[in-house]
Amino acid sequence: METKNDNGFFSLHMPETGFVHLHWHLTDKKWKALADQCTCDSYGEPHLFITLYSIQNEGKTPLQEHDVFGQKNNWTLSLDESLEGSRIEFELFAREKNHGERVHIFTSAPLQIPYSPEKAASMLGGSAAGDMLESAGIESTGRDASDYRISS
Amino acid sequence: MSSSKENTSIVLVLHAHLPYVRIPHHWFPLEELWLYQTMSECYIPLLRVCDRLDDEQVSFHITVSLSPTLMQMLSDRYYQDRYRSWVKTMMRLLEHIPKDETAEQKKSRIFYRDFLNEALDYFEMNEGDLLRCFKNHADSGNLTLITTAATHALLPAYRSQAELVNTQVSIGMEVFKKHFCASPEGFWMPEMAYYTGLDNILVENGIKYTFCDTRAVYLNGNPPRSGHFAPSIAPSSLVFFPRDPVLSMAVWSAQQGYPGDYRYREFHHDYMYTLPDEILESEGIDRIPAGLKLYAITGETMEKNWYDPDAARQQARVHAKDFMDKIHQRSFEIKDRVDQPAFILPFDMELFGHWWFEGPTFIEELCRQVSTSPSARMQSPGQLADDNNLLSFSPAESSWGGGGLFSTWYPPQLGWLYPKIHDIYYNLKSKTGDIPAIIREQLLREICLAQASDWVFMIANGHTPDFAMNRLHDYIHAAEHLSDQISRHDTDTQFAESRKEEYPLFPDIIGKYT
Repeated sequence: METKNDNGFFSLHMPETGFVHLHWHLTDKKWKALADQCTCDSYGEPHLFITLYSIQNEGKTPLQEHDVFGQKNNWTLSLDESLEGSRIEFELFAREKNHGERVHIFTSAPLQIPYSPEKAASMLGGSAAGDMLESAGIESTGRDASDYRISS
Repeated sequence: MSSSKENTSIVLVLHAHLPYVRIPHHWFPLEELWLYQTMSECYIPLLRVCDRLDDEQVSFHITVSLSPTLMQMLSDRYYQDRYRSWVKTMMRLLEHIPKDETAEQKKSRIFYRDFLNEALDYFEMNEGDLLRCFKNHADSGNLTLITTAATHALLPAYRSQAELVNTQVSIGMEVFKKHFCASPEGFWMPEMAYYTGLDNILVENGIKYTFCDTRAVYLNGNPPRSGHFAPSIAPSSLVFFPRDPVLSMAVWSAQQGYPGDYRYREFHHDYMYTLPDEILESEGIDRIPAGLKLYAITGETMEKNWYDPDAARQQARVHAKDFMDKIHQRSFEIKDRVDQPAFILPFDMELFGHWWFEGPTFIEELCRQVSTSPSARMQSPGQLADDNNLLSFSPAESSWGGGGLFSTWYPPQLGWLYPKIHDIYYNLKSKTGDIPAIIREQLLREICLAQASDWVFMIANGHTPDFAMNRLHDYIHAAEHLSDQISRHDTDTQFAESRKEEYPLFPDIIGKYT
């Protein structure tokens, strides 16, 4: 999914299953338009908030909302274990000043959060796949497979 | 179709990659020596293994992934000329007979001198064109050649800028096509890093299969019945070949794996540190670890025995036999679950020869063992995908790095890196106007150079971190300068031209993707 548009961009990173880094950059034009149309803080900057959605076939469900700020900023959000196995995405909003309606700014690329090896093992326990997962031993081989890397 | 007897398939995959390093104003810069050492110790010995097996009509098959940066360096006369000079210099250094030289020391010294001489002979016999040697074996059906992303970028880090991911993939495909006049069917995801949606981009680029970590199979909660012992197909139609960690670790593990045997060549001790000053001065070379490694691992202390090539070679054969036994044992262990297992064994090619000097001997012996086994055979991924009734699955996000996701490539000290690249790329794509093409082209080149996953890995793991950090800062500063030129509509091309001359990465390709 391409999130670049004329308003700037919104990127996300998932180094581990426990958190995501979000990064956004709004163009001057968009930032000024939001300041004119939306509720602002005491510095005159638009109030922004991020909504975390769980995505299912039938649609998406909002799960969390976080107040954020800044025309350009980085934000780290924790993801609890209940989200393992979920497909999620984030949206960045402002709020329209007259009626308080959401003003959508960006939708992130989707994330599919993997299960932890422990949770996958308990889910698959007793099945053929569970046996094969156990035989793979991925918990014990959770090392850097690229230990050998070019250098002198 | 495989015969009923040959019920175990082995897909051996060697991923050859080096980051683009070019330091023309230094004579024998350490980081360029990575290439010259791996040419002598890894690429040429493995090609010679293929030659020998082919000459003796031993049936074997290896999948070789060649990274675009490596393809460019191997085909560039600049590196070819410097390689010749390096080998000849090393051979001259080894002509020096130390006082009180023991018989063991002499054996090791003469062995390595002759080893380098044979590598150079092979290089010259093939007119320096190692890519052609790989192609010849691909044409003979011994190798399947595939490629990877342009500069080996960690693709999940750019999931929000799909066009940038596509640029990395497309440039990789185009570089491969330039050198081999055909498109590859397979693609090596750098660091085996997969994110949701990457498979669609690969399929759009004509890719049919890739390789993934075992986690990709199981951590989606709904693995295929064959587990990680067969390729499986994603809804995008991309076929995934998951590696078997148990067999892989017998080779990979620096502690318990084969490469740690005491008879094998020691990687970290360099004979350069024992040569007299006047010898080095006569060659105009600094006392750097240039790659003269004449010691055996011996033990964990600093006291090292001289390398005995005969004992080491013999041990590599023993280890290959042991590995073959492990394959049979693993087949037996899972026979109730999977009737005809496929073991996918992907490794960095540079492990074999550069880090583990005896690795090519191990591979040669393994190929011989498999060729005479009644129950196993080496296969190409394409064959295996065609032979199998592929089961469907949804791959989980994963990599082969520590922890199974991407944290290896997100060290705290580089928190600034990915947002910065996103910003610069956004500026490149969003600013139109009358900007000279060379400025846009060079900006994309600097972005690609900074994206190599190698720099982050080196910094995170303390392997030449200063050099890696310097590379990152150099590319990012240049990219910021060019990005600023675009923002200011500054049309002066001098800076872009001088940078392109210094780092002529994919000179005829990259400009198409700005």
